[in-house]
Amino acid sequence: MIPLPGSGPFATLGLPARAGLTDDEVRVAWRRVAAATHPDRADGGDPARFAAAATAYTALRTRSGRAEALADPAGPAGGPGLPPAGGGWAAGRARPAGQAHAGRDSPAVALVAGPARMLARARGGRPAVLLLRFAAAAAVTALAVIAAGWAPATAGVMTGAVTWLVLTARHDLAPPQ
Amino acid sequence: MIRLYLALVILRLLGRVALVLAGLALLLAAAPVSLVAAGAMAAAWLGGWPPIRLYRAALWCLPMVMVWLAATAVATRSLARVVAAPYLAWLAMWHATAAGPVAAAAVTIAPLAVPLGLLAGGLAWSRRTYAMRTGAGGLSPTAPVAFYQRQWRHQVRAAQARIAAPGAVPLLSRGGEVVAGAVIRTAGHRAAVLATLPYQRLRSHQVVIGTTGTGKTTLLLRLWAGFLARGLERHAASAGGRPLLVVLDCKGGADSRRVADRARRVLREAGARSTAIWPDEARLSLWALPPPQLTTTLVDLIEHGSGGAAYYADVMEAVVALAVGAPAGPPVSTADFLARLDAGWLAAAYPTASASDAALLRSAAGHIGDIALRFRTLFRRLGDGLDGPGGFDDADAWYCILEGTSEIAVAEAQARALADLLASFATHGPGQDRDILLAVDEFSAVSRRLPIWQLYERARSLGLAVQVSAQSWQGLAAREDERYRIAATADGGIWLLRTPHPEPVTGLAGSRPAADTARRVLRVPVWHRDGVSRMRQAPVADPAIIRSLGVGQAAYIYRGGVTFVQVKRLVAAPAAVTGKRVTDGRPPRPAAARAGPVGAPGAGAQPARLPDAGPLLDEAFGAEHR
Repeated sequence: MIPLPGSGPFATLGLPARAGLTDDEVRVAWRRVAAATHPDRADGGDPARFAAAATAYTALRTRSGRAEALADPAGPAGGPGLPPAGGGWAAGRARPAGQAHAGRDSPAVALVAGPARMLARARGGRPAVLLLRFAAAAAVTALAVIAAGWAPATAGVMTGAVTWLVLTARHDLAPPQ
Repeated sequence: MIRLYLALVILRLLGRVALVLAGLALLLAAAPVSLVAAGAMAAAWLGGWPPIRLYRAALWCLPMVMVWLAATAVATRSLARVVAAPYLAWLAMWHATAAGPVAAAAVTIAPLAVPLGLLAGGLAWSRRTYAMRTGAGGLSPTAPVAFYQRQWRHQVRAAQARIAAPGAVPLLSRGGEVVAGAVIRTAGHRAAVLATLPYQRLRSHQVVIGTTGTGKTTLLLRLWAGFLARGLERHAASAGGRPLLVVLDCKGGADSRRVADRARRVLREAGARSTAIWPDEARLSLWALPPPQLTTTLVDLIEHGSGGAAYYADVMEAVVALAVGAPAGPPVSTADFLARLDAGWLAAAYPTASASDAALLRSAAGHIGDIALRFRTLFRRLGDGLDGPGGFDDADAWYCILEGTSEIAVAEAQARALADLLASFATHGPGQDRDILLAVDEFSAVSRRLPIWQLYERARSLGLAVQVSAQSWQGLAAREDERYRIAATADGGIWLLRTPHPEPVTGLAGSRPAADTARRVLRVPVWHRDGVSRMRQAPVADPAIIRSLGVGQAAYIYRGGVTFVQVKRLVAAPAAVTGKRVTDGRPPRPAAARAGPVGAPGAGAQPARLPDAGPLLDEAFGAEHR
């Protein structure tokens, strides 16, 4: 069975994802996959998988390309000429010209995805410290309400607590992906 | 007379007592503000903060004040009550305190007391630091010294805590500046929490000096990643050329390859599509140089002496020029070039040679064999890294490893060739539209035939930014004047990590006026208030601090100021597939070719064998050449 396209260039060519592969090994693997999926075959081949294999071969045919694919933090799916697959520090910022808005969510999606992303960032950051900060802000707010009731100063104290929380809690979130 | 004198003394004493009492009364009357101010000062002392941080905190209290006043306006529907709100809150606070519930009193006055307290604390802290800086404060002569040493420890601790927070130090600031780390202390620079560099600063020459194990690589990786991330961002916004980073690591060996691997992962997360590691994984083509440049480069690759040997150098240059400039076109590979270093080939290539060329060929015929031998030896030692195919345009970053410690002669030739290739790329090739940063590490190891200042000046004229790094001042260049020339023209700033001899660089940072106060000692340990202050020139960057910097701490010297930075390490995600890629510092040896059958993904999979369709493929793609 031919591996599904999109599961990484190594897998697409049926190669083990490891360092030390030679150009010959990659070429032989490519020729075998191409032989089985080429559109000129009598049975029509499998054009989609042939295209995936051609892309994978382009990515892996040089030693540098194989090393890039292995170094890809999101898995050996990328290759030269492809943007980094993993979300890095510059993810969403540095994109080739013409792709500046690629990946931007629609408002409806953002509404749903926003809190989920924030939760993921909190989990990836320092959740214990974040919880402590939340607890401190909540405690101050509760104390203000209990001590002074719903007075103008209570609103001020609550605002102060929220400002402090917003300013300091972002440091404990993981960088955006 | 005596009575008058005594009366004056008593009056003065009474005046002082009255002043102290008035101060105490004021502190008591404004007790919440005083308490917040005291707390703010304590926090500033513990964190080693500059006073401006307290002022900023006071500013951030504005939303609280605005909401409080707005809520007062809504509750009372009276502008007069809003105007009088601070006074009324103060009165209510005292009434509540007298009635018992202190918490209610605190809440009542908090929107007013917190910002005012922070402001007062900032002013008091500013006065305290000023007194200690000028030597006018403290209970003993050594108090200011102890104060600043203690503050340094507090500042380092605060900066380390900041870089430990996952989201506190991003690679790029919101304004697009490259963030190097958290600020420990500044002198002559703006006090800030994060140490940021504008992109243009990275497009200028920079110098980095630090001994092994001080975090130099960590700093360099951060600067490189920032350069690429910001450069790509600008390129995406059509505000600049696509960035290109070229690193010449002139040490070589296993350590360089480990750094190259780390750099690749870090740069990939910063947005670089590909990082070429030369010569292990990628190649460049020397033969892509324009013929006149190719001739010069080829001749320079061969070591030749002066005096009588100059004659042979001239002969060699003439023969190389004939081989390169043959009517058939320049050579396309090493084999092609070596084949041309033959009297028969040259005679055939120039069948209608002019009288001068014919005379040259006749006189050089006796040396061509020797010249060919020298070039054959050179190219054998250089390997195939310069034999193409490939060019600097193929990747966003090039990490070039030169074996400067084990094979100096080869590394020198490689450095020369790479510099010429990059210069040609920047002037003639697509590199004209790219923002290029050339980072050279320990270049002095290979700079015998290409002085670093020459590389520096050349890069400057080509519009390339050069970042020179060395383990010490002495490692920057071979001669003192060259070192000064490099350091003095680093208009992008100088990074100093721990180094035993920072004086030449700190000297370049200059000095700034500082007040020195000498106070009278009445008796040990009584330190009189009277004394004399005078202005003196103090070094901007204190060499003693630089000698004692810890791992990951750096001093950034720029335009007469210094910022001490705790560099945030960039930790790239580990490779998704791990493999032992670097073993002994040599390029990985190709494994024996195995016919990998296609099948299930992953190592060790034993997929089904596919039918041999060689003839079909040969028909589709042409015959395969092995």
